[in-house]
Amino acid sequence: MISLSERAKNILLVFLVIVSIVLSFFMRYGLAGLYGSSAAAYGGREISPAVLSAVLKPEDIIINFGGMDHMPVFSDPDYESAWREFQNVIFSGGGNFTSVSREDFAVAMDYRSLTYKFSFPVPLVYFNEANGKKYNLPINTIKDVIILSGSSPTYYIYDGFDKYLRMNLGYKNNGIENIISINEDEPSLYSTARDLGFTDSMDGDILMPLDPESIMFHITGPKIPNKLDINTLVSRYFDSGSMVRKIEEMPGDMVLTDGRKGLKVYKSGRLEYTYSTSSSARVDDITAIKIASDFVIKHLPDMEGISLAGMEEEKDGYTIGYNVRHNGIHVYTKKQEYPIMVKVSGGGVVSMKSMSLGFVDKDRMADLQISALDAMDISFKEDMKHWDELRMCYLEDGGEIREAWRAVNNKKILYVDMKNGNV
Amino acid sequence: MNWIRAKNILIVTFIIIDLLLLGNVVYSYGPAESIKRNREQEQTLNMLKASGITVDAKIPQQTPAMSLLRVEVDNYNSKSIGRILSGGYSEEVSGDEHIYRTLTEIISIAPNGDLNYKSIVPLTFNVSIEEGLLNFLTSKGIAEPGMYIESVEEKDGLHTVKISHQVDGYFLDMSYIKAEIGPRSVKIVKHWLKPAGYLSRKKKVVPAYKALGSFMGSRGGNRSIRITDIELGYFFSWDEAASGEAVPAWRITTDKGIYYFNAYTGVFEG
Repeated sequence: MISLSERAKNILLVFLVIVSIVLSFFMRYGLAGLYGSSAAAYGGREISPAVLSAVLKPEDIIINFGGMDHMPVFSDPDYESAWREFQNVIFSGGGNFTSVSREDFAVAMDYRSLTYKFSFPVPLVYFNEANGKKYNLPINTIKDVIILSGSSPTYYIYDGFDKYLRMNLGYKNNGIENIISINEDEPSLYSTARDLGFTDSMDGDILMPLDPESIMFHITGPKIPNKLDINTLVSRYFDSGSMVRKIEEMPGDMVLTDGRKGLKVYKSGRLEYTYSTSSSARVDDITAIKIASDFVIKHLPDMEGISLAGMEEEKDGYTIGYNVRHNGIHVYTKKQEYPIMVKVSGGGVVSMKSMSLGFVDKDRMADLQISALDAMDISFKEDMKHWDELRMCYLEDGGEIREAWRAVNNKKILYVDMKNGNV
Repeated sequence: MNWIRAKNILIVTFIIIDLLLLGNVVYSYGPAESIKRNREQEQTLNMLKASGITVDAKIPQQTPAMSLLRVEVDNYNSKSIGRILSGGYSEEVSGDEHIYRTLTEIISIAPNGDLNYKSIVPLTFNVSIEEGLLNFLTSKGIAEPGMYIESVEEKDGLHTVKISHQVDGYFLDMSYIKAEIGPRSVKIVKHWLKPAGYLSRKKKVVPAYKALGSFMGSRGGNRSIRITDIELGYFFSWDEAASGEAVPAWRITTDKGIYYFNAYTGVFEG
């Protein structure tokens, strides 16, 4: 038999437990975000080095079958396995370096090998930071690398300025030959401008398709966000406690803003993000790249094949550009220098411009109507007398993506439509 | 195990925990929060004074939970133009503007839907300017629900009437009609937002002194400024907007101009 006082104590205990739960809930959820979050984008948060290694990738990887036969790597699995072999061989350490000439480096492309080309001379410290190691190479930057096939691979490395080196590694288990052999079953489609004799007018490394009729492209387009995508963008770009308002503009574009952050979603699929900060914190270049890359990876999850393309230091921060590959082909836009551009200032991302959210392939394929020689002729008529670059690409223009030739001479860039030859 | 003893210990422990939690909540929401807010407001006012900003207005104390207000920009078309103009009219396109003319009237519709009306037939009223103008706007189909006359100024025979927009007791800026009634002509400019309902989610707004703090931070130069009014309402101003969501805003009226601050964040809006 329970006495009256014990029963009262039981009720009091239950009451006290309930009160503590209610007060805890009120403290936790009542206070959070009452006046909205104003935290800086990256206020002191540690960003994983994995973010850096996800974007530190070559602009192009080329398979050299030996002699005049070459082939750019288009398939993503081949690109990834070739990239793994690069890290396996180049960052393994050991061996002796010998200085070589520019010509020796160029000739190495005629050996059975893989060539890796980065968009810009990437400082070695970036790779150190990305992989948490200190690589011991006698150069400060990496621009182009050629790894020869074999169980004792030799590789050639160019720093992007004036240093060409050759490295003999001795025995090193690697899969370079495997990658070359797998792709050898397909016809070798390309030759270098050097091999074809265009030495005066073109950069010798430019690859020219030998059998244009066999080249087919997926027809693709930018992903145009629907109403559901807009709601996803709100939760992705804005703090959960903030009140985000939508503004539909006359041309059909949409602006989302919470007063501090703004996101403009163009009818064509383009995105422009801005964040106003009063912070004057200054970060170094590696931290800026990490901040920008972390932002890009988290906010553009449908965009594949992103790689660091370059960065520029400015008075109040850094502008960082990213290249984008889709179906193994680079995608460019007429609107901006790189498909994705991020500005980091005050220790956070203050702006990002992306050509789209992602891509949607159509069921149809397109063939090459305009050959590389045609593209040269057409760009020649537009006063281009030398080609630093001539490559097949996708070009985003006003919500459409076309297949095009991209011809570059110094700062001049021309796009030649592959269907009709229009510049 | 002595359950009675254990129960006593638990009761004492929970009393202590609950008192601590209660203290924290009271500090955040109760009288302590009110004291904290008063102190912060006092500090803000002192800083404003030191910066040469005089506050000649009552500082509102309310911080209600408010929703975003969906609005559509009123956009005129040929059908609604027919009601405004007396008789047949011609239509022409000049740049991005559509222009409609009769012998005595002209209307131009800007790309954002703004209406500019001009008549060379003077308006004569047997009633007050305010009443006469409202009758005239109603007869032309230009009058809107929620409009009210905010001010009438007279200079050299020209009456300038400013009509503002109110929704559920809150101002809705920038939604207005401006009329100039002269002895020989009438001019009307209309930029109107049509409310289309509230969004379901609500959020408490920041106190007015937070907006005053932002005002002080955003003000350039060292000129002295007098604040004459502080009011909570809705704000929507976007050049190319067809529709959107108006945000709760603190409107600070000064002798140098009018400024709007986002009432959720306190950040300058326009």
